[in-house]
Amino acid sequence: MNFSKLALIGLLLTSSLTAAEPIRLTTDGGTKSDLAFTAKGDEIVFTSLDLPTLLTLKRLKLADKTIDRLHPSATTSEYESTHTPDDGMYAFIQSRGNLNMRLVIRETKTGKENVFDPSGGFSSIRRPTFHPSGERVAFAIPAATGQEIASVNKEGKDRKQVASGGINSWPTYSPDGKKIAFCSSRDGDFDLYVANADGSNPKRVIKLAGMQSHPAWSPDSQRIAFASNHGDNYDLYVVNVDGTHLKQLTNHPERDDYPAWHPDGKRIVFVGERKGKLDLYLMVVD
Amino acid sequence: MFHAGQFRSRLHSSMSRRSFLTAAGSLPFAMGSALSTPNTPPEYGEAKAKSVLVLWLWGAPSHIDSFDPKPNAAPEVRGPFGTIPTKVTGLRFTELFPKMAAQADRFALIRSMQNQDGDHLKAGSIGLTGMLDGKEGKAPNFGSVVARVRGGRELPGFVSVGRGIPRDVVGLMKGYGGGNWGRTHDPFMVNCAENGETDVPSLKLLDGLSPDVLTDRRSLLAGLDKLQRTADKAEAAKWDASTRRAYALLTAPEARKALVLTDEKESLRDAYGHTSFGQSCLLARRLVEAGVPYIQVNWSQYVEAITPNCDFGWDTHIAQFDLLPDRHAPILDRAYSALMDDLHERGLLKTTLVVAMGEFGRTPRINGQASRDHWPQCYFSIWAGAGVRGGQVIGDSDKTGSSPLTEPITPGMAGATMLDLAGVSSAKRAELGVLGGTRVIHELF
Repeated sequence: MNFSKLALIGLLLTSSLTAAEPIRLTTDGGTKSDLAFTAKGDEIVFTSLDLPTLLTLKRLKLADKTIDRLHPSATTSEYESTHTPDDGMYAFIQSRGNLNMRLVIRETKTGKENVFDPSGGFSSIRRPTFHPSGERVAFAIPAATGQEIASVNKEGKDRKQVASGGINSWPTYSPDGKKIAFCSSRDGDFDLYVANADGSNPKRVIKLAGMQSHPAWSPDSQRIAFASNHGDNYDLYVVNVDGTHLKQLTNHPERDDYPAWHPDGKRIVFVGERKGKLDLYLMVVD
Repeated sequence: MFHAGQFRSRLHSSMSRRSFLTAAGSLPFAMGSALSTPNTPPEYGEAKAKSVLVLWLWGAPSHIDSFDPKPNAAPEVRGPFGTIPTKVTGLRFTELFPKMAAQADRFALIRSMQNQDGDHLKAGSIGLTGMLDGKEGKAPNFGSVVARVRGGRELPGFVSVGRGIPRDVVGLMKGYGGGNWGRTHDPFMVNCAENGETDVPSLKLLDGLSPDVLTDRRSLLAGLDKLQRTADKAEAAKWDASTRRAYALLTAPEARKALVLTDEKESLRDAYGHTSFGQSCLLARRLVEAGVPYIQVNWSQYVEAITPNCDFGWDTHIAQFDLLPDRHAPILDRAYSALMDDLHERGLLKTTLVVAMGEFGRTPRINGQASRDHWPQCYFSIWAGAGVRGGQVIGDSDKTGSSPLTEPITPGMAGATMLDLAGVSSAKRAELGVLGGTRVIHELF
């Protein structure tokens, strides 16, 4: 890494830790979602609408804010990537056919792929999350009971149910690997739940008016950031895993969504809508 | 910025510059396409709606997850979304549409729409023509009827804003244009990207003219001269009516101006949202302002929600409860409410009828993919402007949103209402052979 990049990182770190207002990281204003930190926090991979017909995975390097496509030759939509802490593997959803998706689990260095293919015909699978051990990937998938959280091993086999009842979505394993957070409509609207990593002992973290979505764990596995339209508009909130100390992180008349916690535990990146444009923003959390 | 597109073919060698312009000027479309015949005075009664603007929610949004929620139904019907109050006492929408909820006093909501078919292409044609394809073939789009009766001299009478002819992965929707009346009654098609750049797809047939030379008539003539010198007869066939009328449109300053969104204040463009649909709605308002009598904004070209090479329509057989809060609902909520504000503030809402609808609804019961399938038996449409009494709900659906409890409102009735407000009287409709045996939705007024 050259000096200029180090200087940029330093500037970003310093300014972000003292700035009251979120720092804008991208400027194109295009549709973005589903953020994930990689490279030990130096990069962010996100889903981007590149063409009216194509979602792609993009990588933002925080040092110089350059953006490139994770898979430059991909010709079908790919979205919602999740990465192991050592970046040895990652998984993402691939649009395969007419209203048909599959889960791709890929070794970063070799490109070797394993696939979990739910079925032919209309078939959905969304929001994968890699267990920090790198051994399993959980996701949201339709089931007889609505939409469940299930997991497969890194070979894309050995499917196990993790959570069911109502519509369950946006699973995310805690960094210590012990818990899984997700949102579920099992008690009515979408609320935030936490269970053991195998799905046992699910508990609603907090009951708020409006829907909660897109949970993201703090690196110490003690807090969860999430998006909610609790105040009529999507903003970011954070709450302890036991449901205490709820705090609103953003309060903007436009949408703030898709939080991702930086590995240093001090910053969150999210998608903010400002003047009708969607960009990545970085903010400090207490 | 207005882009005339990538021109790939050449001008017919036998067509002189002057004759081209003469020909273009004499085409029905050229001076007001999908249009009335030039020199024929407009024949229409008193039009309450100077313009009709249809927001075509192609792919069919769920009525239950939007404007006809069933919070007391069983979980497999009600879905995961909560409801919120609106500006109209007692009226609730799902939580996905807060901006529209805040404007509910401005529009009328019909909850008893019913289509006759559950197939996208057939239902879409019915939705936009009011008629089944019968022995006589394809019926004309409502816009083609309005344009035929009210086509102007400078601007197209029917503009379709979107990426192309509405379709699904199987084929094209027949009811997009003139039907049996022929291609001259098809809409003038304009695409609008999320950055507000517009282009005219039919101009992509021709090589050699850059957008920059289309700024005035003189430079257009020079460009055509150059094209003639390199003309290729084999390509001449592509120089069809739609291309000629597209070029002719560009010679009309008023029309060209209407297509340039950069003339708008940045804050207004922001308000609509920097999405293709949002900017298309803004373009539609500019076309209203310019005097185009019928505009159809297509949500997408394809119905499919998530399919390779498709552009995220409302056909959410899968991932319904992800797609709606992530993408579809916020885009519609923002664009529609900005359009209402904009039309209202400019005093245009009194003379502009705005109708938002899809071709049908979606199944009350959540399917095996945790989503919803096609449901033509019951769906919604939203009406505003041109004398429509806002803040009211017309019709009612049963406790699961399966069927209307009141008289079903059909696409034919919707069409008759649009045409009537646009000044195409029942007598004129009978003369043209369209939308017989149906009625205007008087409850709207």
